[in-house]
Amino acid sequence: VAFVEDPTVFLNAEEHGTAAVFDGATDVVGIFGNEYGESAIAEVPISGSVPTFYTWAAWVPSPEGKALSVNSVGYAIVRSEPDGTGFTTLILEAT
Amino acid sequence: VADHVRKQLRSAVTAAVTGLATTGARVHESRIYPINSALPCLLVYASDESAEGVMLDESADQRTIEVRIEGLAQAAEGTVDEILDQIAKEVEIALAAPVVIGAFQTNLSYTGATMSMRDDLAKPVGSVALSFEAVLFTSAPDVIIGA
Repeated sequence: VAFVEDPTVFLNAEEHGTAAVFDGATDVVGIFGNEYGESAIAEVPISGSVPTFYTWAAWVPSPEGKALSVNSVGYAIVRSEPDGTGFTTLILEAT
Repeated sequence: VADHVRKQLRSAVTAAVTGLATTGARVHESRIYPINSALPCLLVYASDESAEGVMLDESADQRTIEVRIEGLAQAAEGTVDEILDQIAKEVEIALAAPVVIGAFQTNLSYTGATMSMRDDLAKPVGSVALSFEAVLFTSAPDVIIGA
């Protein structure tokens, strides 16, 4: 179901959101995650972090391959995972 | 008391691949815990073993032991495979020379490699698993009588 409310109510940098800069120029807000993760690629997994940014999809058009700066840390957007409501989770790669 | 021959071989191989240009001292023997940021690195395992009696000496066994070395790396997309190939090159060169186990030297036969890459962490990760075989003659699980 498409989301009809104002997304800025739910993504507010002065409350539970994080400000970021999309594609070097556009200020956006989202929920930044950087939790522990493991990649089961070998006999033992490689551990690390999994950076993601949950935001309003319309604010970040055609995001794959573009840059996102969060808390002054640069990331490349690997892919976008829309949830069908208008929000999307950006999967980030540290640069 | 000497270690089991698998342990002796694994340790000898670990010594032979420690200090390589790309992986340095980051070599782990039979590691089971996750690897964190200390990459690139090598994991050394002596996994499978087959054995058969020696025809002219019933007290002896001919053991074929598989040694698996996994190289792990984390880097930007497009460079992970290059690092893994460099790791493979360095390991293969290091193990082209005979490995010293006690009073014996044994040659390891290279039997193949498998490479894989994933993108489920902040930077892409990759592994190259190199397989080798060694043949050792033993009179007991911890006594090598020939290689």
